[in-house]
Amino acid sequence: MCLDPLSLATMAIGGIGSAVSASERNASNRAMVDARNKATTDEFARQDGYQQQSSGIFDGVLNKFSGPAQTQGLADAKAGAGAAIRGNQPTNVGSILLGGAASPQAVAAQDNTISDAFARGGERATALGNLTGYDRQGTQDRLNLTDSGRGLDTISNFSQGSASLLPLEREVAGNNAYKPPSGLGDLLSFVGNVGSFKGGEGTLPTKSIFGAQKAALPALSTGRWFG
Amino acid sequence: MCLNLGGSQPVDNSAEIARQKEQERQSRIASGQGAIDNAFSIFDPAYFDQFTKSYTDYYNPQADEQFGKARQNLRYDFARKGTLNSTPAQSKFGDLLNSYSDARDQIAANAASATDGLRGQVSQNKSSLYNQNAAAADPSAAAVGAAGSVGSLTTAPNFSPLADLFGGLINSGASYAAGRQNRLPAGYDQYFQPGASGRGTGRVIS
Repeated sequence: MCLDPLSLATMAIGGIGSAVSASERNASNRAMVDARNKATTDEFARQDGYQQQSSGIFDGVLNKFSGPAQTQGLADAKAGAGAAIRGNQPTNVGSILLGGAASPQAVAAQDNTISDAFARGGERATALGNLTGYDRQGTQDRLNLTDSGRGLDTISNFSQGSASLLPLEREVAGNNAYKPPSGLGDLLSFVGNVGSFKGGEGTLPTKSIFGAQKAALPALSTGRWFG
Repeated sequence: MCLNLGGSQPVDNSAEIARQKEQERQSRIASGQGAIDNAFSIFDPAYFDQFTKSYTDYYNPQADEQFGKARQNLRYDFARKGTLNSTPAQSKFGDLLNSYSDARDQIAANAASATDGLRGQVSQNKSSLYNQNAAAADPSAAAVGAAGSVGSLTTAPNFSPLADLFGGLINSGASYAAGRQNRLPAGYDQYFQPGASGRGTGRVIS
């Protein structure tokens, strides 16, 4: 078996053409994959940002439910409620005695009665404040949860809206990264094929192409590859 | 070398447009939340303190008035019997003072509870507006809703007046005074003591 230099050269050109086409195809595929990956990683970065915001809100409200915070909050609530209730206690209760007819002993007895009533009233007000302080603390806890829930809902809304775009962004990024073949590979392959055909002593169908006089191209089997 | 004879490939910017629209939507939501927060800024601690004061301002005078009448009735009841300077009169007065103090305590506690309820209602309304804002993603609509909600919240709630606080106490005081008035004359008590002097006609049958 023996091939002439022209045939070898054109075969090599055809091979190079195929290699160029494959390389361009691979490069395009790689660019499409990279573009899709970048769209994904960009979205993950946005989701990480949302996650950090959510964590900040959650950590903030969780800290409000920590033992020391709850203890302090309850103490403040009790103190505030107790002060409010004591502040609403009566200060002037008058007298049931008749002005000029009351003996000094009766006046003194009434003063003691009032003093005792005020003292007991103050104690009961403090006790009631301690009791209602739990309600006040519970209300504050619920308000804190509602506030954090609002923030988390908003971030979740943003997160879902952003994530919903990912399939579109991946598809579009891939499509935009697609690189059409330059044609060089095809051209080289064509030259290689033609050269090989010629090397096989085939006749180029120039007249059939331009003059439409010879319709059929010679089959490849007529070449003499194996001399 | 590029033999691409078909011209440059068209670029699909639909994802870019969608991303921009999403950012605009998020901006509208954030802007709407700002409008809501601004509308709800009137619900500061001073607002709720004022509500608490309004509550006590409504109920305290009712308790004071009832106490004043109860004290007067107590005075008249015992004065009619001539026992105003007695220990039982002072005891009843002490009971009245305790009830009065408890009533004022309860008013303050109820005021705090009502204030907590109002705070919760405000917070719920704010959450509802946040949700509506997110759904509409329209700051102007959210601001209108916030203003309407604020208007409904500032409408005065319907509070019932106080019931009779000291009626039972005064009735018992009057009963006591009446009982004192109708008691047996001195010296007759011994005949009605159980087992006194063996004069009873009853027998316990075992």
